[in-house]
Amino acid sequence: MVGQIGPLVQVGRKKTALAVHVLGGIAGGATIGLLLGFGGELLRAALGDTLDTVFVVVVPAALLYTASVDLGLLKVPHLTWVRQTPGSWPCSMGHYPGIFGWGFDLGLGVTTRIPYQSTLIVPLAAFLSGDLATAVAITTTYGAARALAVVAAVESVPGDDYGAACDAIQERVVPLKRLVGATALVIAALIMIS
Amino acid sequence: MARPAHLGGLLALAGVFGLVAAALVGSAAEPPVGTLPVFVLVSLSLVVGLSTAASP
Repeated sequence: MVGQIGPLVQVGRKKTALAVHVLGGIAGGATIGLLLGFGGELLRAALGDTLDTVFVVVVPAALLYTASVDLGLLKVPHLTWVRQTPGSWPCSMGHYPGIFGWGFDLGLGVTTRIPYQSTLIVPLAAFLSGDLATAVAITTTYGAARALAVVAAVESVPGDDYGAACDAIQERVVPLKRLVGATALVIAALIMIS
Repeated sequence: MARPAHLGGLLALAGVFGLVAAALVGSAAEPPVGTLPVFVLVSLSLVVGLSTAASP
């Protein structure tokens, strides 16, 4: 994404483009949160307080699984899709709408390639929380954080060598995956003892 | 020279955003699953989101 959005922000106003991307990320995260939260509310209406028990069992169990995969302890095929955000959007939709669309698509979290298995916990936990506000908080934070990470990466590039920035980030994918896995492990423990 | 400051500022902004989201839900809405699980899951969203800058 950095390699795509980086050159594009040179075309228009850089700060506007990046702000539009962040707004797209927030909108995407909030949208999926509203959908999952509404679904969760329906599930709570059907299951009642049993859903809290389901949450306390399923979410930590799923976190343990995804943490094991991300930490490299469990060698299983990754659950992911091959779809990527279409690079043609700024052409077909227009410059800023395309950049907004990229942010929105990535902010959804479940429509593009999933780099870390622990990412799957975000929509799962949002749904099983059975609470609209909780779901929106969890997924909107994800959408905003993912977009802000792109902004940070673009801002950190000296000049316009975005390809080199992508290479540098790719070299850190494995350590980042371990970091995410370790975080998931800690969070699983915190949920179990809470 | 300003780039590290920009980077730090953006990451701090993301952190503040996550903390505010967790605080709003935790204190105002009183989530059924508890405040701590919401706080830690928002933190997970923050870590996962910030770690995926290179992913298309």
